[in-house]
Amino acid sequence: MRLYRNNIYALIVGIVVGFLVDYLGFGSLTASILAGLVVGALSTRLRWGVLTGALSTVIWLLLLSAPYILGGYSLEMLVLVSSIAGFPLEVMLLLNFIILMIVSIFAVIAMHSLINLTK
Amino acid sequence: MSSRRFNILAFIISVFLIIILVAGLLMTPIGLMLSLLDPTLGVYASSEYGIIPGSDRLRVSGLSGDVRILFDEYGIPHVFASSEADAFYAVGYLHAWFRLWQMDIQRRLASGRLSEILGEDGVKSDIFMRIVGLRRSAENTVEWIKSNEPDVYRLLEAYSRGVNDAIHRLVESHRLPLMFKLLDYIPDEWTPVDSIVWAKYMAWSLTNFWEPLTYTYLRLKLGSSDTNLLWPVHPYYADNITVVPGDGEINGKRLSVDPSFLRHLNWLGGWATGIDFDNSLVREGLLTGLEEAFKVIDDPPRSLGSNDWAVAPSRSVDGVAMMSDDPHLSLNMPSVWFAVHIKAGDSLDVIGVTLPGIPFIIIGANRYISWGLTNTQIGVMDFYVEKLNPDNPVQYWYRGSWRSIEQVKEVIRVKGGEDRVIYVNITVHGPIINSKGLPISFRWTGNAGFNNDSRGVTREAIAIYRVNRARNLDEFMEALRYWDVPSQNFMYADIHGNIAVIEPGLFPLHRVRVPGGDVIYVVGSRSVLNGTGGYEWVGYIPYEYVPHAINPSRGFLAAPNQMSVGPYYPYFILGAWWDPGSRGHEIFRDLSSKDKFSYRDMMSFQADTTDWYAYMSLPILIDTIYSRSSGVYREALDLLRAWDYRMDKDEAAPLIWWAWFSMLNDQMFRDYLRTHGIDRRYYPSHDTTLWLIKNMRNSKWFQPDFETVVYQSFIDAIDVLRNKFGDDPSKWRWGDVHKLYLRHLSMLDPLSRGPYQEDGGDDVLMSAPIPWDLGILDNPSYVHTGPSWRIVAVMYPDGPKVYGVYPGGQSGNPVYEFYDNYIGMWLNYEYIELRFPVEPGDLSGSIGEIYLEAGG
Repeated sequence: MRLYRNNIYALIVGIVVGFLVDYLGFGSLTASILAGLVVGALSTRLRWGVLTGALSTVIWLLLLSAPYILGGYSLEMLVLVSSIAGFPLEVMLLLNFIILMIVSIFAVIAMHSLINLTK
Repeated sequence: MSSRRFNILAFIISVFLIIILVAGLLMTPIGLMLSLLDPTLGVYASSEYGIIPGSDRLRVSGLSGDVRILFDEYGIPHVFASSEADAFYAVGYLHAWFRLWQMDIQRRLASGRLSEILGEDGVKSDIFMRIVGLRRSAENTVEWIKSNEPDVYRLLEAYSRGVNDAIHRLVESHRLPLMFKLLDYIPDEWTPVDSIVWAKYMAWSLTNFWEPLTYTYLRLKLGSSDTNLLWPVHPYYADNITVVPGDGEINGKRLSVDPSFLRHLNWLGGWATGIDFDNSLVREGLLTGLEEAFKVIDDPPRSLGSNDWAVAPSRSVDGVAMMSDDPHLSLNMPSVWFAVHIKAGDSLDVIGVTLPGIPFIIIGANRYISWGLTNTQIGVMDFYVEKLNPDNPVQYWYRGSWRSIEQVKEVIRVKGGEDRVIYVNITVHGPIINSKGLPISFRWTGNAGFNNDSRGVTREAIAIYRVNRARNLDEFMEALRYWDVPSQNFMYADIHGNIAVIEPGLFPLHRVRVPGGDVIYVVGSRSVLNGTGGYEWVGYIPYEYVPHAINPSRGFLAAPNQMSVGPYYPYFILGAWWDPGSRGHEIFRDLSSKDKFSYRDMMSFQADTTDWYAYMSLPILIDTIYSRSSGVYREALDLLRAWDYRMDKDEAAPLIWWAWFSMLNDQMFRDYLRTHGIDRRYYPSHDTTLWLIKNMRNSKWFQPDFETVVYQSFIDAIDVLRNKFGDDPSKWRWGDVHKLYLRHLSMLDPLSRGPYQEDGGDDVLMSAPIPWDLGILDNPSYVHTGPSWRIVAVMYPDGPKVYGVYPGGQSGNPVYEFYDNYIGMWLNYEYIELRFPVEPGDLSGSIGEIYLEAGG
């Protein structure tokens, strides 16, 4: 039970950190690294940390994007950008999620390893 | 592996991968993609750029009072301020809020700073613009305005503050336009120099006529005789449709020499140019120099032109003066224009279009007067062959001594590349444009300045500001005393019933002794000139003598870029690249078609697609070959016979005419030019073709004979069309070839609009040129220029009614409905009534508001 609670706690903190860092304008990559580091520090086991890191990335990214997409012309803008880039929008969004999740996961692993080393 | 070693390895690898991943991504397009898709910094927020706010309230320091900006249903802002400075602050804010990237790319283009954001792609343009030196002249101009016209300077400053406050707000809220994010940069602060440099660029683009270089080249290749025949000093069919009615006499002054004698002189000869064309070394050096110059110069799109006219109360259904204008410029997304109504206390109440980057209304109306612009096409740029010191090539010979060339160092920063350092070589005439062959410099009024001291101080900003405020003809004429460049046909109508046209500007004069010994003053040149001091500008035409006409007895004035004045104008206008007159003839026909006109007639004339050349030449051409034709060729000729000469998109005849006339010109000139070593498509203008058809049928231009060339060109043209569109000419459509494409300034297709099938053509009032080249059937070439703004002003004594439209929309945001909402109206010749509310409460149906509260 404690295992679940710690990882849920890590997930929430990861979401908050990722959300805030990106919201404050430090960029998605920075946000995913910092969120990953926090999750890595708070999660109990590596495999849970990896899962939590990836999940938190998806959630803060969605939370941050949703108001734009639901609220106005953003979706049209995304479609426009994808046509300029010459890539389907779905592929671009998926790639974006995957890259940020991978970066976040590496950050989780780095922090987790560092903490284990200092124990 | 021990747990410790595993953790060390895991830590190192993951940190290493993060670094590699992040650094690698940032250097690739994927990094750009990540930043674009970033919810906060990316393009999500850009979708909120350029939106008309439902209600936006801002506290602004530096305002003397509150400013209300209300948007009508077409997205046109109405600015209500208590002072002019506040009003122009608001205009600056609006321009940036709706068109920031356009403003930035324009000032970069004009200043030679595109490479900083485009990399190598911008270098060629930047080098050229640094040579031209608009920025240098703009800086001097602003310095002069600051010292001599502090009131206008304060308005430019207020405008800049408005732009910068919008920039700060957009940057802070991450709402910069999409293009900033795609190109990954943030705009610099706006300054008055940025406004003036864009004005300079507009002036440059309307007056950078390279014809003296081209004619020198043609003269060297073809000889003077053929060059003068194919490209005559003055157009063949323009004498009876001049902008200013009459024979040219002005304020009691007239030309003292027979104008016909002057027109037929060889102005490409040594006597007129000081160039020894018979010297083979000179010829060779010139040709090399010209070829080099052609590589450097940015050849502007041809067929730029404009229409304007005015009708007196005696010729109007409502008994009031009317003014119509449609300037033909490059048609892009976003449009070059931004519509706005500005009301500042009791001093200013004006509506019309501005150029984003420049605060004042350029074409429009206030409560008393209306005005429109077309280009005079008069040459205000001369080219000089400089004589360098063989022992010291940084010196040139001028008026009896060697002078040092002024070298200006220009550093061009290139994104992702090495900086380029260039040295612009400047003589007493201006910058040298080529580095091989004989050095050629140019002197342009925009760089020479109103004092002709090469500082480039020009005063258009002052003039147009005063025009915005003018309440009658006297004030209007007095304001235009300050208009220096580009020389324009200012068409005028007011609520007092006056109509007028005036061509203000700096027209440089040469003092020339013509064969026979008479001395006359000549404007412009047809060739490069000797630069050693004998062919200099001796001044400008005094303002009292620039071409103008007020309330002519015939009751109308028209200035669609045709010849300005009658033959006895006291200054012989030699360097004039006038429209040969097809649009002039057509509007004169329109305005003579009945006694009285309504504003609807004015609109229908703007939509007139009649091709005067077709009207003049087709009957001859058809009669020449009709009896020889049969089958599909006869069907095509019958379509032409039944045609009303209107270039309408749903008709077949315009397509047949275009193909036939293109082929006819090909067969008349292509081989001739090639045999003289000219690969460029230097065909004469269509008035020459018409003149040859009517007057020189038994000449070398029709080989083996007139009938054969006319017949063969027709057969060949029809065969090309059959091959492309099938064997039934009645199913062919002009609109299948003739299409408008509104290209985005970035050249990105998803941000562009079109192609749209479009009426009009090259030589018609509804200007929509495509090349006269059948090659475009396989490699489509779209219409890129045309009426960039249509305005009709009806000057009722109790206040004008103004109608206008431009292709595009007010916002620069490509996903917003106000990005392209005018295009359909423009294509269908519909107009927006530009409303003139006196108070904010008078504007019904407002869709949004920005309230700028003084203080903060």
